[in-house]
Amino acid sequence: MPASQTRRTILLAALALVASALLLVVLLRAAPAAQAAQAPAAAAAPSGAERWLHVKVDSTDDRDERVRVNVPLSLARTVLNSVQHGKLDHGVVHIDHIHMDDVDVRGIVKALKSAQDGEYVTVEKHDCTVHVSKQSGMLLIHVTDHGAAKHDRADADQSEHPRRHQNVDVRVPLEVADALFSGSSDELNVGAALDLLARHEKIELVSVKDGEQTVHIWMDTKTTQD
Amino acid sequence: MIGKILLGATMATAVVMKDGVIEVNVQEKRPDGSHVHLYLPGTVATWGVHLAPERRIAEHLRGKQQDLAIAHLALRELEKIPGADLVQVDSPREHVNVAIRNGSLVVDVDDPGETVHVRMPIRAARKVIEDLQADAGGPST
Repeated sequence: MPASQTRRTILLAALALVASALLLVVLLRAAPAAQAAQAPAAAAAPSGAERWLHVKVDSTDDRDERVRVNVPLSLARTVLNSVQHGKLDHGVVHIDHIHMDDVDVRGIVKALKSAQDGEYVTVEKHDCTVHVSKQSGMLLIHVTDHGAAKHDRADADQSEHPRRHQNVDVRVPLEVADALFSGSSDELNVGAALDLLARHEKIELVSVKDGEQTVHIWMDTKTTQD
Repeated sequence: MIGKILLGATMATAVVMKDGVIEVNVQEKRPDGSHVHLYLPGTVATWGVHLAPERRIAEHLRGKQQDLAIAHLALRELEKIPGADLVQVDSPREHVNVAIRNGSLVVDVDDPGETVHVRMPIRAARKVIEDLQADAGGPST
């Protein structure tokens, strides 16, 4: 066999070897990826893993809509802490007044933090009931909007869109609420609140139920809502 | 000849492996509707930025450095996610799904007019943003 032909054969063999090696690399990389595609990280992540914020909205009205949102908390924190636009400045939201109907929310949160467990605020009106309590370091707010149920029936019937009975439950760790109001009186420190929220592994945050819609917001270490 | 083919295949594999594949599939649902389905190596997206005139890009991106930085940060965070459904909207009329699958951002829309499927490797998108940041004269995050 001439020397040039031998060199050519060796070169071809070398190229074939390189191509085979690359093909092997592709297949080895594709195999776990294919497995991941079949079961896209549905299992619960171990402790210390990424926290995920989940939003679930179900409408049973004529729209019959279903919305699911899953956001990694680190993504929310990173983006929030880097945005400087309008009233949002690196995780801090600037607002004009934190007082609501002359109620000092900041002061209430501070007082609740050092208080014992129990129900602290109860407001009962003809169409709405509000309960604010503290339980195991959690601030619990329960609002029942009786809507048309306790309204004048005739008025409700005449209305094109009669109000619906609605239940709202909000659960926030007091340390998170405290961090939210940790800045000056005209700002909300959302970034700090999210940082503290991330210390919790699983937490139910908001639940809204009425006749036509349910909204559920919670945080855990799963990537899915199962 | 076989060597050249193998070399070409090797190079093509390397290009595809580098930044993944961009997939766009749009199917109109009307009887004479069009169907566009294309695959592009993710590297092509970065080539596009390099081919565009730098001065024009800088003009368009003036004052957008912060937006690019946020997009870059968001993509870097998304790159860490192995796989997840980020947004799902289901109604009798339409279905929308935004997900992360194997390092790609996948968007699926199915409505009465058309079905759309877009797969964009996050790494390629991040590199595009980095190139745009460089062209816009902003700091790389």
